[in-house]
Formats: sequence, structure tokens, C-alpha cells
Amino acid sequence: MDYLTLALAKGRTAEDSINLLNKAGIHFDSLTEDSRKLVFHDDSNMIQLIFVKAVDVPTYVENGAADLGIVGKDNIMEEQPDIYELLDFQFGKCKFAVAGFTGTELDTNKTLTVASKYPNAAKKHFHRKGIPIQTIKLNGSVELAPIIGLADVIVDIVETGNTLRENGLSVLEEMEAISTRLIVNKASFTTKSDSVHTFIHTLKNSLE
Amino acid sequence: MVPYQTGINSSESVSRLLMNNSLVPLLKERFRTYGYMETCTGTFQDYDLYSSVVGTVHQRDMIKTIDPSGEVNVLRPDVTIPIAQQMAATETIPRRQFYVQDVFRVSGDKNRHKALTQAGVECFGENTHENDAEIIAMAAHILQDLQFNQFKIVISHASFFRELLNQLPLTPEQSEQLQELIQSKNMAEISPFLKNLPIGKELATAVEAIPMLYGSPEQVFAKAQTISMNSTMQQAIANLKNISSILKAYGVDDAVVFDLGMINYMNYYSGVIFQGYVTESSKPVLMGGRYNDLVEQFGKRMPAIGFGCFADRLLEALEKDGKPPVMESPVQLIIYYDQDSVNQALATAGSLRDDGFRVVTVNNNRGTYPETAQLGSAVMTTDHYLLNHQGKQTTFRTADDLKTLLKMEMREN
Repeated sequence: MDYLTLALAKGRTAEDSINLLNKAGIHFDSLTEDSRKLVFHDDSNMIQLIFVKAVDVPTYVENGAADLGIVGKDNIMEEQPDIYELLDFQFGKCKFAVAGFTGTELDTNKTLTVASKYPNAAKKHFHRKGIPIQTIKLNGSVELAPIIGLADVIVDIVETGNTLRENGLSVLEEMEAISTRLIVNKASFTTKSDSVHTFIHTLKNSLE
Repeated sequence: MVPYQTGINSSESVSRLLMNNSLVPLLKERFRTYGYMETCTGTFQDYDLYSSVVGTVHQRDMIKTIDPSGEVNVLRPDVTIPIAQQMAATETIPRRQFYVQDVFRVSGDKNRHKALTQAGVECFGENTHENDAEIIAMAAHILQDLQFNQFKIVISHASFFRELLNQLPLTPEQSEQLQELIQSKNMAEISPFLKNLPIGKELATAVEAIPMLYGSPEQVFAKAQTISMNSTMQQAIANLKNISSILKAYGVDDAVVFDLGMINYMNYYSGVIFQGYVTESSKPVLMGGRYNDLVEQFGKRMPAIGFGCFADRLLEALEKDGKPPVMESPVQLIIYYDQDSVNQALATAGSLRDDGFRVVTVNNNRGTYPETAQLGSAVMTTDHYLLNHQGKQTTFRTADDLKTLLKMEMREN
């Protein structure tokens, strides 16, 4: 039997994900937090784990480079991959939000400039509300954008709101709730159904 | 200007040749064994044809051109629509047709133009379970022909979910959202989505069950029965049950799986729909279904069903699987000759070629040919005529002698 490949998002939710896998009886040798290795194996369950950047997890899974992926809903919404999204792990919870200086008007006649790590999700949100926007893609320190006048507002994930407050910004509008999900490649779900279904079942049981 | 690109990777022309020489003949032959006849459609199609027919290729994905009279054309974005149009316009053409043609699209990333080869069949005028099953069995037969280790045909029905969707009070935007949730089997978000709608519990339970109507026919049909709400949904289940039992007779029941949560984006489908998956491709390699209402849009009521293979994906999957189709028929014999035997050598080569042997001739003065041939090499000089094959040397006198020797060699191989 072949290994199932599981892509795991590095960063914020990696520890919770590993704990969940352990709880489900899936253990990877030599997996330590400060390890620089990117590939690990669980030979008894025939699972290969790869660590990839969170934004890349949907791409790995959609293209079949990984059969399964564990990643935040924020990245799924941004990439809009054609995949199955089968479980909500209920950790890594936060919210998408529009943020800016208190009192910034969103619905004016002029085009709003929105800076974000998630330009697609931002476009979709404002499109639904019928507000014309122009997006600026940033890869970090998004809070700076309104402060130095690069953008009117930002769209980002907000956990506690501390970073926003410290920079004099506040949430102007809450968007979708975010949590960590299990995603599955559609072809793997169909052609490797036995092993994929066993894996999903095991994880599901350990959630309850 | 962005260069015109025919496919996806840099070894384009090699892929094209592989496609045309190995994969395409194999597919065509399989279509013919089911009684289908080849048809083709024009490269330039009327833009209005595609923009007026509901549920086809998205307008932004079509490649448009403007002819000198100012008419907007598109480079054929799909083959089924022009075939359906031809069918409505004429009486005499056969009702079982196949095609292998390129379709042209703007690919999503990088806004590039792409040509993709599609090979498919369309069958008009029949509306039976037997006909549905025949088409699905043929699709499975093709994946068998290509010797994929693992493949599955996923079967669903267009009207089963559509019936439920029609009963839901949704804005077009919500409808799209719900379909996305169902297509991604996103159970975690479907329940909250339905809770916000003013609908009864029975309807909500039915919609919620759709993504999990997946698996073997027995399981799926039993569960589907419990959420079926009207006669249209009953008929859909009955149709799938009948198809399933006929597929057993075709011996392909192991290759199929039912998934009523597979709701296809091409909404001209009216009955059974299906997609073929292989382990080596992350996207479906073939898809199709019954479209009884399409021909009517061109003025004639006529049921129809068909499917198309994405030949580029099949080829890629075969290469990943380590079974790339044979690129070309290799040379079978090299004939070396000296200057004095040029007449005899070229006459012999000609006679062999008439019989279908693949032969290269080389004048001894020009050195040796850099490749070896399948069956060996012959030397024709004033001293002797010799065939070198499998480490043996055999003399021959005439072209017919040589043919006999080569045929024996082929039998031994």
C-alpha cells in the first residue's frame, strides 16, 4: 500500500494539529518542534507528513501533491481550491475582519483601497456588498497600510485585536469565522477511498 | 504579446505527437467498436451560439476573434454544442458519433490561450437506462484499455439535487454558495447555512444528507430513498438503480461509485452525470452525462447523452504511471549496401516497404547508422546478401527470402 500524503500548515496551528493527530494514534518519528526537516513518516499508519507554508496547503492538495491537508479556513477562502472540505477541527479560531481607523466610511462613492494578505477573500466580500474596491497585496505588517496611507482599510484575520489596538486601528466590520479544516483532494477521495476514509474516520472519532 | 501556447508544459510538440500517434488511435478504435462514427466541427464558431446556450463554457474563458465583416467568432470552446446544433439541422447524419478535436480556452492562471484535445462520443435519439449504461461502460472500457492501476467512475444524477434546490427560497448568490458548500462536502458549514433559511426540517435534513450520499449503490440508494421528496427524485433513483444493474452485466460495477453530492457546473445536464478519476491525475480525466434539453434549444426535441475525455490529462497520467504510450513505431530493418548493389538494395527496400516493413537504407561508404533496428540489419554487397539478427547471420538471395526470414524473426519475438 502507498503512503497517504498529508500537508500540514506551518505556524500558528501546527502544534494543535500535531496534538490532534497524536490523539488519533498517528505519530511521526523524530518530529520535534525545532526540527528543520520537512518530511516525516508514520509507518504503521502509512502516512507521510509534509510541512508547507499555510498559503500553499490548498495548492498542494488541489493538485494532488498531497492527498490531504490541514489548514486554516482563511487560506482556503483565499485560494478557492476545488477540493473537499470535510472536517472542522474547531481550533485556530479567529475572524476575518475589515479594520482601519475608527469611523472610516466603507460605503462611499469612491473606490475603496484595501490592503491584505488575502486579496481574493477581500474582493469577494466587498463584491457581495456591492462596494467597489482596489486591492493591494501585502505579505506582512498589514496594519501599517492605513497608518502610512497606502490603503483606506485592511482585511486580515483577527484573534484578540491587540495588534490592531496597539496600532490605533479597530475592527470596522466582522467577516467570516475562521478555524482549522481538513481538506481532501477529490481524486484521492475517490481512487484511494479505503485509506482516505479510514484516516478521516480516525480523526473524526478523536474529535468527539 | 503573450505567445500562443498549445498545452501545458515545455515538451509540447512531443506531447502532441504522443497524443496523435498513440493515444488518439486507441481511443478512436474503442469508440468504433461500440458502433460510433467520426464527426468533426469547425474551428471558428459563432459567438452567439455559445453565449445564447445556457450552462456552457464561461464567456470570459472563450477565445474571441472578429472576422473582416465585424462578426464575433470564438475558437471552438467545446465540441458538444456544435454537434448538437448539426444534429438538429440535419436528418441524415448518424446518431452515434465520436470526435477527437482541440478545444480552445483562456486558461485561468496567467491569462494564456490553451489548446486542449478532447475525445468523446455523443449518442442522440435514445433515452433508456441501457443507453445510459452503455455510455458509462464505454468510459470505463477506455480507462481499462489504458491499463490504469486504479480508476473510478463517479456517478450522480442532475435532477436529484436540482429538485431540492428548486424548493429552497434562495437568492442566486445564496444558491451559488450552497452549491459550493455541497461540491466541497463542507458539512461544518452546510448546517448553519440551512438554519438561517425559512425552511422545514424535512427539507433541511434532505439537503444536509446530499454530500454524504456517497459509496456503493446499495448504501447510496437506500439513503437517497429516505430523503426523496417527490416523483422526479424517485425517478432519478430508479434510473440510477437500473443503470447500476446493467453495469454489473457489463462487468464494470467494481469501477463505479455513486456520489449524489457531485453536482456538475455545466447545468445543461438533465439526467445521469459522471466523472472518471485515475490515481495519477488530481482532476477528472473524463466527464459526461445526459442532456435531453440541449438539442431543443436548436429547434428539435431529441434526447442525447455523451462524454468527453481530457486527452491531455490522460496522457499526463499515463506518463506519471510509468506507462507512456509508445511514441513511434521503431525502425525494423537497416539495409547496408555497397555501390555496386545499389539497384538491388533499393529495390529490396521498396518491396519490403510495400509489405509494411519500416526500413532505412545506408550506403556502406557513409559509415554506420547511429541506431539499431528492431529486427536486425541486412548487408547487400556483390559478395553476399546477409541478414544479421539476434547474433545470427543468415544468407538470403531475394527480397522474398528476406521477408520470410523477417517474418520468422517477428514470430519468435
